[in-house]
Amino acid sequence: MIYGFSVFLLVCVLVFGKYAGGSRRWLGLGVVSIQPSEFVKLAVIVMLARYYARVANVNGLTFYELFRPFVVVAVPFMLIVRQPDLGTAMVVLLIAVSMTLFVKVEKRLFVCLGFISVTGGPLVWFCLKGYQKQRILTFLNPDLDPLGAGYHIIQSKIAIGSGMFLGRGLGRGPQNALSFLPEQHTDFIFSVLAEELGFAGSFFMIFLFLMLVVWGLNVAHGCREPFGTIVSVGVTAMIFWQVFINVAMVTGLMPVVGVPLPFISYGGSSVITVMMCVGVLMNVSMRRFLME
Amino acid sequence: MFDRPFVQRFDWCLFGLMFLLGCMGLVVLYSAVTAGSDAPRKLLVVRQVLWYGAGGVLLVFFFCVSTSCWSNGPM
Amino acid sequence: MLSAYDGFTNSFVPVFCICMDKYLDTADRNWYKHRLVTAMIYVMLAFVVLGGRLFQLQVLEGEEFRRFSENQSIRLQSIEPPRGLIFDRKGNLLADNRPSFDLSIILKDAGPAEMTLEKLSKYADIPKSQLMSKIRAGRGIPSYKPVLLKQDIGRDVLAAIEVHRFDLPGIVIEVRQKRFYAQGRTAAHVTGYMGEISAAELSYWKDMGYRTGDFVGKFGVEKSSERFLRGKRGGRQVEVNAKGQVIRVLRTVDAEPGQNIFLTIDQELQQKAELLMEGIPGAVVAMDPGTGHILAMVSSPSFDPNTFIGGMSHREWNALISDPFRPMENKVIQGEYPPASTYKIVTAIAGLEEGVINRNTTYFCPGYHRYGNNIFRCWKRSGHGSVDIVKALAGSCDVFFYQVGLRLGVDRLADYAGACGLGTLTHVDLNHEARGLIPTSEWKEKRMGVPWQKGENLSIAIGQGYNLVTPLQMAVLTAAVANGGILYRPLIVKKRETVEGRTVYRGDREIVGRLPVSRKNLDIVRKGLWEVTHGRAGTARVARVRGLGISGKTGTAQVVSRKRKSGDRRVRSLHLKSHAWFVAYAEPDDPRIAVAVLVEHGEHGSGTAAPIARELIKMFMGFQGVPDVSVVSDPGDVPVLYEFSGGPFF
Repeated sequence: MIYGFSVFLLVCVLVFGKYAGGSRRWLGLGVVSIQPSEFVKLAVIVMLARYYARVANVNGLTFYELFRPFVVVAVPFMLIVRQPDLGTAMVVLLIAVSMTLFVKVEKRLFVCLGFISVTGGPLVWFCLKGYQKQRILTFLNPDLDPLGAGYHIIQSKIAIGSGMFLGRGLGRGPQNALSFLPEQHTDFIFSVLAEELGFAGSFFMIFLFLMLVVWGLNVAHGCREPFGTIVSVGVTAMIFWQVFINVAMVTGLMPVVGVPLPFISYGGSSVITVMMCVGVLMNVSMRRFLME
Repeated sequence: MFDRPFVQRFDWCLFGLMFLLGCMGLVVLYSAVTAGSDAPRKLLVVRQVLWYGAGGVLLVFFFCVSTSCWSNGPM
Repeated sequence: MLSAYDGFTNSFVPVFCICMDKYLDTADRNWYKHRLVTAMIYVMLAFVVLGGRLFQLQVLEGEEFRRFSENQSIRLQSIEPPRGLIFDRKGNLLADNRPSFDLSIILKDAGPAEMTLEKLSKYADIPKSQLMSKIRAGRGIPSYKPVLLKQDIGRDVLAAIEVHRFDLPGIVIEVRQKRFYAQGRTAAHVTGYMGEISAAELSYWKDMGYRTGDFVGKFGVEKSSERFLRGKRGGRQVEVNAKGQVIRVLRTVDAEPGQNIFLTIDQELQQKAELLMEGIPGAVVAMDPGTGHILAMVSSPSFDPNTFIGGMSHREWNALISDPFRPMENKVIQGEYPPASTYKIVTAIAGLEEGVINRNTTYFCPGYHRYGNNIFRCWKRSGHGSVDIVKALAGSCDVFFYQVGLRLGVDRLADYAGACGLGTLTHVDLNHEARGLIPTSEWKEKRMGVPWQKGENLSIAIGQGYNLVTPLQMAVLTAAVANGGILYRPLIVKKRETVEGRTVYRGDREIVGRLPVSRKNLDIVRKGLWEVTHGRAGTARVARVRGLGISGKTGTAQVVSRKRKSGDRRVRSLHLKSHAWFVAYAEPDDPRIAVAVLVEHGEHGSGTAAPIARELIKMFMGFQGVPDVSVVSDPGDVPVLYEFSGGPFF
């Protein structure tokens, strides 16, 4: 059933090009538009978990055992890169890598893969689109684009920093009010929060996310079957990476890639996906009592 | 099999965290779309709430479906 | 809850190590737990990084960021790129840039805006109500961004404001580049004009850095080469103080100037052609038959592109677009006219190549041709007598070509016309090019729902009926006849170079096809065209210049109906008069110029169009002589009258 679901999503991703109109990531369904790449994350998690639960062992995965997961990840990954949506593609990849490393890879293979990814970096570089290269370059050296991404990062840092300890109060942040921030209700919403609620508020939020991630791992810990454990780890990895990338981005620690902050950013697909993930976690958490 | 009442087995901690984050999200979103703008896009907040509702339904769905029926599939 | 969990795992780790020996290969629950602990450590580390970063930004550096935020002190100022210049082929400047001083106000810095505006209206002599309305119109703009009050203020106003600078907080003067067409109307349809970006253009070009209020090319080369001329906007990040004065430039990205364009147009020839067309509605295009370069392109009447730059009033604009002589249309590429007798070049080629006629085929022209119940007249009522192909071209004998058309049929003729470049786009680098129309039997069936009638073969053979061509298509065809049969893509841009003078594009000849004719048959046609100006019965002996070999073909296109009934008396009196064509090239042995002239409602090709072509060619060839006045001009080829339905014509 889940397999069919994920395939359906992939087909959606394939056809969205036709429906997207001005934008390239959305699939219009009457009044609402959804972003299939969000749902793909969950599908990938379930697929990988199902496979790893069967093959995982103490010695780690061999090269042959990694082939199928590679295909499962590569197909949606390439489709999302094509959209192009570098942020979501990166999250999918990071989830897959986290899950794979969690179930352990053979030491030799690990070294090999590490070597390949280091040497493959330049190769990927050539495949990136101009504006994506620009973003990475801007991150490495914000002077390169002081009028675009570099300016956004500076304004975001000003917004966050000017919140100081207690913040300016809700709705009173000038950076927010004067539209200095780009996409202030989606990717840069954390800057608004930090400006208006200060260090206290933003730290509290970070702490809540930490609790969520820790609790997710705790659920994985409490589960008695490998599938439940791995799926919980995958879901937790998704939340973790999105929080980390988003906050690191708006605070100027990482390139400007469009990754929404779970629960906070505006966006139906993102909200629904995160809620489904929490549903999965609750499910796994509940089931640990069934055997007792 | 169900040796404890639902209330005890339910992961209230997880639920609480989610609820808290969701509420914070809505408040900040409201601030982000209304502050300083001549034409506040308050509709976005309403839509976000609707999305939460839809997400809640799916949450319950994923919560109820037994994990065993996803773990036994191809691959 | 967290600490309890940690305690649990810590005590668990040693136990796990003992278990590992027993369950070596199966990944059991304990093994997973061990890996979860490791994952937990990484997660903690990551969150420590995030928390640390927040602490650094908000607590340690918060003071400084708060100050930046208070003043909105980090701002962006854009630097406009200088637009590329447009020159003619010899480097004469056609489109230049000049500075324009724009008056803006930054409301946040203006103190009491009311008072500032009061003073401003005194110094700048602009009514205060006008200034206030500008501010009201710009209400959505954030208060730290400038609101444009008046564009292009004069030097005296500029001086007055500069003197009272300190009295006028928040008032800024921005220098922007404005287009200036140094030669006024010269080549207006080629260079085109600029205007403020429209909503549609903005959404189409948004990714390329365009903004509301930008000026973009709207017509001509300004439009078709917009992306090369524009350059790239730069900008600087500046820190301003509480009064909005720049105290520090943080970073600058220089603007990239646009590329300079050299047209293929020869300004001297262009101006000569414009002078010849003064007061005559129509089109002139001259090409270099060896390269396809367009040497002159005139559409008359014309307009002054400078009037668009300062912003044109609604009334002026309406007057331009509703003018019955259509000054806003480039008739060389947008005007579609029946080719009339100039089309006989194509009919001749098709007839010779298909073997319908040869060099020696003669027909007798009694002045008319009877087909079925209808009489098709020749323009020369007295008839041409016995004519072969050369004489038929020279005298533009309609009866001869009726015979050829009848034997060819519409579809074979259409194939040849298409291969000659008629009814297809020439792909000149200008927008809005019209395609023209070469009818086929299939087209008529589809369009009109009636089958093609054989009688129509007669009229299309002499370029009437549904046939429509643009002057540029005729020029390309004429150039191909002149150069031995090569169809070149007409080029309007000779080269583009960067500001540093590096050539990035060169308009080299682009062969798009060949005339579907053998050298032998082409020479027969060329002989006919030579006789048009030099033969005793030639229709354009007026274009004969002693010592200069001009070949050509006249045409008189019937105007069957006009779409628009205009109330203008000048137009009404004109609107049934025929269009006059003349296509020509010189010299046949060493072709250096091919010309197509169309005079709207000019009656006879020989009377109005041919002298224009003659004078243009003479000037181009540097020929000072006078036309051969000993030649008595023929009346030229009068429109041919024909009728399909009803009884005999006379």
